[in-house]
Amino acid sequence: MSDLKGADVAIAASWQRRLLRYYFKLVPWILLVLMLTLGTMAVAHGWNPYITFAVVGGFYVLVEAGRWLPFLLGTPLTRSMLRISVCSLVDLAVLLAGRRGPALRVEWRAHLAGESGHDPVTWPKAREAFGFVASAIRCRCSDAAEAAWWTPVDAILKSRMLSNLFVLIPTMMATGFIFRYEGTLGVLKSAESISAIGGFLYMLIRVGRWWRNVKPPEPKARRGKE
Amino acid sequence: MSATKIRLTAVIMDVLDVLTSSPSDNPAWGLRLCEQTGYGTGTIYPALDRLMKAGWISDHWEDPPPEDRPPRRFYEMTSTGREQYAAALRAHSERRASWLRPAPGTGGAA
Repeated sequence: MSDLKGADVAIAASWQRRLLRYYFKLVPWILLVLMLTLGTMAVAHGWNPYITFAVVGGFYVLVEAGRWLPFLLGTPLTRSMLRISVCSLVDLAVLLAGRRGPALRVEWRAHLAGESGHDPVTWPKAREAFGFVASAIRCRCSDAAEAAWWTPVDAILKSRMLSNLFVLIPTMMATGFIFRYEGTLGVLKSAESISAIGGFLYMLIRVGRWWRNVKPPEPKARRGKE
Repeated sequence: MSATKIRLTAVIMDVLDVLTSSPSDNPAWGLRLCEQTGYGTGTIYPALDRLMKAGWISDHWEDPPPEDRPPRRFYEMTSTGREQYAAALRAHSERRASWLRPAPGTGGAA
């Protein structure tokens, strides 16, 4: 039974090899036919003739890559190239991480070394190294957003006076603009739009406070009520 | 420093669950977090960074450092983190319950 199975596998392998051989023999002919077809279509439809060369060239590159990549993946050359690329990716991630870099370099190297501490460099490790680059970029973007955007926004949200000014100034400016060009009647006519601007900005403040978990200080109690 | 609000996303909750369940003599580190949560490095490390900034977790290096490999960075939840996580979970479940509860007068299930 096992012999029969082995023979089946051998036949299948031989068929695969034969198919592959035919495929590789056919590729130049397929490319020729593709080029002629596309060339005729390009002439008939008035397309740019370079499209034909680009499509056929791209197809050829894909075919060659599919042909050579499986043989190249396991060689010592590709393994050492993989190791160099993983190390370079970690270095790039450390560079992007900024002041966190030195600590992250050690942490990420320990991560790549795995549970055993001596894991070989494989393709999944390369994917993890790409993840380090992505996480460094995300951390830096979050830092930049914090410094450039959230710090002033938090200052406005925390202060009652600044929040009120944030709502009032644009609303008053819109009112003044309408008053200047259309007079009092214009202001009355546009009352809905003006209140919409004020309402929208007020809602922005409320949503921002909820989003950032920020509360302005409570107003002081008036002494006259005692 | 602004009041950093930690949003209880699926990633954050998974990371915090792993950190909570990790014993103190064998704390979680980056690779273990990736393996146990199933997320990639590009997701786990920014989440850890956010939690560190908010003060929910703390880190320490493997001590003594091993000679044959780089030292690991371990993460643990702080007491503040545990309290705030518990409070956030409570608020989360209350919010969900209030959404699921039928409004008064709409004739919910008897």
